[in-house]
Amino acid sequence: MANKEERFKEIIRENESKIQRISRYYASSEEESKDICQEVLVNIWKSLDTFRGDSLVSTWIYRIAVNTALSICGKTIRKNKLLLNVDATGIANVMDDAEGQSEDEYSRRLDAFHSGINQLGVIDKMMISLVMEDLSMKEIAQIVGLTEPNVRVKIHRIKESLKESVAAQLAD
Amino acid sequence: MDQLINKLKKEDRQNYLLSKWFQIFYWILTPLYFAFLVVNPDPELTVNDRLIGSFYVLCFVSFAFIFWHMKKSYRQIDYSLPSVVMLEQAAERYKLWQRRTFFALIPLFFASVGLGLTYFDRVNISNPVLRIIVIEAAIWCFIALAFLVGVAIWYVKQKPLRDHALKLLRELQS
Repeated sequence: MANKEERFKEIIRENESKIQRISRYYASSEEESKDICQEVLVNIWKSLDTFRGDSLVSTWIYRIAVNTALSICGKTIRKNKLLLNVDATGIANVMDDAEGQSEDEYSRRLDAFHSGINQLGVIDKMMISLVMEDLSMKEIAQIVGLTEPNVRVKIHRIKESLKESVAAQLAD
Repeated sequence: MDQLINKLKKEDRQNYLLSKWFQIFYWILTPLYFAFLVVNPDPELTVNDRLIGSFYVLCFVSFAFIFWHMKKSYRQIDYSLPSVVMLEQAAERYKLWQRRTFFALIPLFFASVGLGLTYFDRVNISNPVLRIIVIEAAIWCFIALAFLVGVAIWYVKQKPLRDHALKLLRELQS
């Protein structure tokens, strides 16, 4: 048990920011984000005994975080305001043309991006949150359980729909 | 963090105790029931009483086993699986008609035979076949009623979870 506790603490210490970010993507408030984060920690503890190291610890953590979030707030996520902690890197991972803009334009794009993301379905939101984490297509495929080409096509489709949504909002 | 770890350790301990209690029931209480209701040397216990006792014991044991198996499978929801697999398992777990639904018929069958034997001498119908039919019909009416309550609970609590899992799966695989 002491060994499990130490292992748990070590995993959490090394992956705390990841867990907090993923929890924030799916929460409508800071309070809800803490609840999701807590639930993710509980599920990490429960899954620790069966973790054999077949996948990377980070992939394993992402799976638990994403699956927990899907189970908790999947039903209401479409209505939720996504609390995106998007920085330049995060948005650049999704929007290829986000850099090299004035502060004002960047801010308008960020708002439009926010709004576009909030219109996505649960699964699309989940996929885009993994893209924002700068994961490779292979890692995303391992997390969600789809083939790599399938993930590539899906993400391309989501990015295109986000671009259209942002462009439409900026044109208004 | 330490507070959370303590909570988790407590939960682990409770799960361990739950399985321990099942083992106590299985290995101690069942033989006790068996001793009192079936092989008790009391001369007042008729063969019919012992037969009834046997069916009740069989009902308890099979019920306890199914209950334990259900608890175990609910506890073993593995969030570390790929999302597609986790969602498929969730959809399967919350299905109304699954193998364990039919396994639940086993203890019910034992209970109906035990109850049938209990009430056989207490019902005032001269034709014994008709008497059995009436008793069993009454018992299975109660069971059907209980089943309907179970279906209603499933419809309210578990069907939305299954529908949600299936919807996410469709979205993911489209």
